[in-house]
Amino acid sequence: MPLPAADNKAADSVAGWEVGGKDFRSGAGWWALACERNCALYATRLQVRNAKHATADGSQVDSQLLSWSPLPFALDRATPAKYAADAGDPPQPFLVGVFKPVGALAALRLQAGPLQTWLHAAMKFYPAPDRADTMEIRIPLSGNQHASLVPRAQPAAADHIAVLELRAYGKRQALNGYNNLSQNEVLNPRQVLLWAGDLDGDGKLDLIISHDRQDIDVAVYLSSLAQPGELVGLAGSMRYVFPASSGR
Amino acid sequence: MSVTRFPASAAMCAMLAGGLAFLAAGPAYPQPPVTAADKPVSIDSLSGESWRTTFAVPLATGERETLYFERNGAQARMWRLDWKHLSASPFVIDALPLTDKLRYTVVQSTTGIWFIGSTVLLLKADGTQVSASFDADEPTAVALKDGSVLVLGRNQHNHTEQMRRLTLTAQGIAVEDKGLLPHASSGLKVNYMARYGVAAITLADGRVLTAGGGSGPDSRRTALIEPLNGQVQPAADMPHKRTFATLLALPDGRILAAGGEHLRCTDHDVRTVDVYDPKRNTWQALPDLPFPLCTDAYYATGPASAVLADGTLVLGAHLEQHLLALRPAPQSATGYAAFWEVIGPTRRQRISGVLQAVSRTEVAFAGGLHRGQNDCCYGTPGAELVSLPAQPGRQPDFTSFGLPLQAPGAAQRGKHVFITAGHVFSFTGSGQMRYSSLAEILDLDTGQVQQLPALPFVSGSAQVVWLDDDRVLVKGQVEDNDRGFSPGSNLSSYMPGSAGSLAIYSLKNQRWSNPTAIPELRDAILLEGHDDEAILGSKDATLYRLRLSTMQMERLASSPGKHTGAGIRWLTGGRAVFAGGAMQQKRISLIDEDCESAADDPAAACPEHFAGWGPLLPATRYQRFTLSEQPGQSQWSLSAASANLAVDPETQDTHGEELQTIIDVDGRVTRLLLRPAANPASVGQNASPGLAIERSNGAGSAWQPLPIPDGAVEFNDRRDTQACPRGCRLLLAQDPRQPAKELLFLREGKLEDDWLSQDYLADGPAGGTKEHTRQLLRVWWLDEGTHQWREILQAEAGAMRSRPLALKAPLSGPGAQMQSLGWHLSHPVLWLSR
Repeated sequence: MPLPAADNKAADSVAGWEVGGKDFRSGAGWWALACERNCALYATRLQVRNAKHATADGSQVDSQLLSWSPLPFALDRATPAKYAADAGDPPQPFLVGVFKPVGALAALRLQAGPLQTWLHAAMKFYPAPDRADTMEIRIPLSGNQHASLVPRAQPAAADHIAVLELRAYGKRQALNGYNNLSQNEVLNPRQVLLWAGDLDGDGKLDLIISHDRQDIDVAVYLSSLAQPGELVGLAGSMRYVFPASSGR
Repeated sequence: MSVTRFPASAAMCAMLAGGLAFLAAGPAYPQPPVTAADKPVSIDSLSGESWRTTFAVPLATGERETLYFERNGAQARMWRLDWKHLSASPFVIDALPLTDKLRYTVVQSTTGIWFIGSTVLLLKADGTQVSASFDADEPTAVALKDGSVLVLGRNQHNHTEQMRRLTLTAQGIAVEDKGLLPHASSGLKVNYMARYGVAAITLADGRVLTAGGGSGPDSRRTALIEPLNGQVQPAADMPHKRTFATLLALPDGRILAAGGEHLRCTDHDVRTVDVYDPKRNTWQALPDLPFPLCTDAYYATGPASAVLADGTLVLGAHLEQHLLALRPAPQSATGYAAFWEVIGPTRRQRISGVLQAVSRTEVAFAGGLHRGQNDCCYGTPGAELVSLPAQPGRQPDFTSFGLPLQAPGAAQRGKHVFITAGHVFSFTGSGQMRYSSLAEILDLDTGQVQQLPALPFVSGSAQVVWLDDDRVLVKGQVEDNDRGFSPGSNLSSYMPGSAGSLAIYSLKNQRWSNPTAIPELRDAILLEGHDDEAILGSKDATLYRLRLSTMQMERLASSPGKHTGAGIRWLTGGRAVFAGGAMQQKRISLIDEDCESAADDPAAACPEHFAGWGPLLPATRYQRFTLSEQPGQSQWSLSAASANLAVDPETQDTHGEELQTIIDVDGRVTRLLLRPAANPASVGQNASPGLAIERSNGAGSAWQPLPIPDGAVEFNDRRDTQACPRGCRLLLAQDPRQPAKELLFLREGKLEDDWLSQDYLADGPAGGTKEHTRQLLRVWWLDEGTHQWREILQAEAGAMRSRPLALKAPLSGPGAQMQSLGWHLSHPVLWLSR
């Protein structure tokens, strides 16, 4: 799961994350994907503290405060791409997210250390695509190949993005779930594609995509989970809303 | 009562209000006594002395004689202008009280010449002067058949309720009270109400016709007054509103009425001319005027009219420095030609001056008012002669009355230039915008200008394309914004609603088609036309095709993204470029589910189509379009973005400001822009902030900087930004050496500003001579071989509007000289002379 913004007051105060309920357990088996100039995987542990959070119409209810350690840098330095500084600034360390393979993914073989990465949101720029006006994201791959992530719309509803279409290796695949970009805003590649690299170690493109430029709504796509005719399969997704926020 | 002898033997006849006369021939006055200070002078000399002031509107007293009334301190001096000898002889009228506040109306009757004001003085034909006290200040007055005078009210600018008749009796001048005309507040429901600005004229049967005056619907009212008993009868309403109209008695007894509505030159009424038939009590329309016969100015009353011996009607004394003539044509339904000619130009502006026929082809134009250097209005001294051209509507020596205007429609085909529409603005008491519907063809070889029937709709600006050697298509042009037609104009004026109107002129048939108004094309630009087809494009990047035989419109294509304020160029091969303005800078790929789900290889089988995306921002890119007659196969594409007009992808902030964008015949886009002072990094190394020129390649894939001409830019006061101190503009013109090519120019001078139009025209179409209009025109040409600008022209700004100006080498050479005119147009006219 991605970590919240450094300027999130609730997170700031506990250096972690508050979630409703009592689902998480402290323990090892977590991985942190962090980038600065390059990206690497770090083995990390989750620490859970029980807490209460306010509700709009009643008494406080149970929640948990989550924090991870060790991490390559303090959470208050972790700047997601959506809050990235001007392009002229030096690269900002960026914690793409923390995750724990479970269930069918438990067999995923991960190793701490540098990770094959083609794009990550801590980069100053993503490479310019051939068709700059189409808002597509060009992903350079190994061996002079490249992939593209192309926002597409239905003709009858061309005021919002219907899918992000992944184009690579001569194939096309629609990735659903992108939302919340009005026609008066231009898609910012570093806010959409948080990371592109090889997470599952098969040499093929894996993606971590942010579906929402305001809230945390992230999906991990792995090439190793692709069905026939597909390029990637959805490994997991996470949508987080601060539990005490009103109207959520 | 005092009596002064004034020997005379004039035979004087019909007299009209406002100094307008239809006169019988006759010798005028004997030479008056001459003093050293009052020697005869030439009319030219009298007219050149701007210090002279008048106490009355001039009066036509004979076929070749005009009286000009000068106030010399407290002394009334009457100048007799002899048009045969072009001399002016003075005569002092001692008995006429005069101050700088007192003005008189002067009319001529069989009894003599009447001066009507705070005193009435009659200058009798036998030379004696008779005077009596009176109570008026330049009133409306007409001479009656019995030699008496009917005076309506005290002052033309006030209500005219009081009717008084002045007669000469054995005891002197008698004043008879003929009663009151009913006032609007009287509650009486009669046709005629006392109003200001009433025009009056004596009919052949002795009655007096009053016309118009006041405001609103009442200014169409007319009445017939029986002056002997003061009875008032209603007459048929005029078809149009008129206040301070000019009335003219025609040889057949009918009355012409023209001009009026003196507060709005943009009203249609002031472009109309109507003729009243007293026998039938009906009105008949004559052709509309190509310019408004409008006199709005401080101290002005109405325009003027005259009829020549051959029946030609002449109108004038409006705001323009020209006259309007309509020749008789017995075979036509109206008895007159199909259109009014513009004649002149006059040497001076003579608003509310007096017109008088002095020969079969000449008109005397006397007195009036003019706009001064900075304000309005001053009396215009003396008088001048204006000749009608020998051939109707044909002017020599590049004398175009339409080309010097602001934003006329003009199109060149070979050695012919078709010119129509345009506008001019001046401030003469209130700001007055005037729109032209004049149409002309200029022959570049001979310099002859042939006037044509007026454009059948009124538009402040127009677009023109030649359909073939015979037909010209004209479309009204929408104003740049609600403040005027010219870029940067800040004039609020009524805008004529003809931007969506089209008409075709046939040279062979010498007539216009009936105009067609297509509201959807109001904003569209006429791009191209041939045979039965015209292509138009709107600033929102939509293309239309118009079938001219049916005026059926078809929408050819619409931009996939929002685009506003686009400049458009239609190119060969069904291509178009839309550049400039604001546009969505991004596109989004559209899903074609039918095709993509059915195809094994959608990338190959399904052409990708796009819609626009993103906020409307200054257009760093431009759109290219290729037409396909196959449905859905037309293609839109976007150019590369300019680095000088960068848009920050994250903040959407724009750096740099587009000043002008033009598109050449090869589809290249050239931009004049201001590079940002605060963000030099965005414009590349060694690029100073300020004015810059860049041009795209034909494919739209790259931009190339162009140099700035030496001397065209200066630093601002803070010395941090360079700009054109006197404004500059990019212009394209067809290369007369290679008609398929264009030449690129940079022109210095703020010539598009509507505020300046009054100055450029202040001294007539030949061009302004004021200091601040001088030396404003400098033109550089981009030598494509060396990529350097060369200065090829310097001229006075007024002169460049319609006078031929030769360009310097290397555009001109020993074999052929490249001539130019119309540097205020978007496409100046170039041609070769040998």
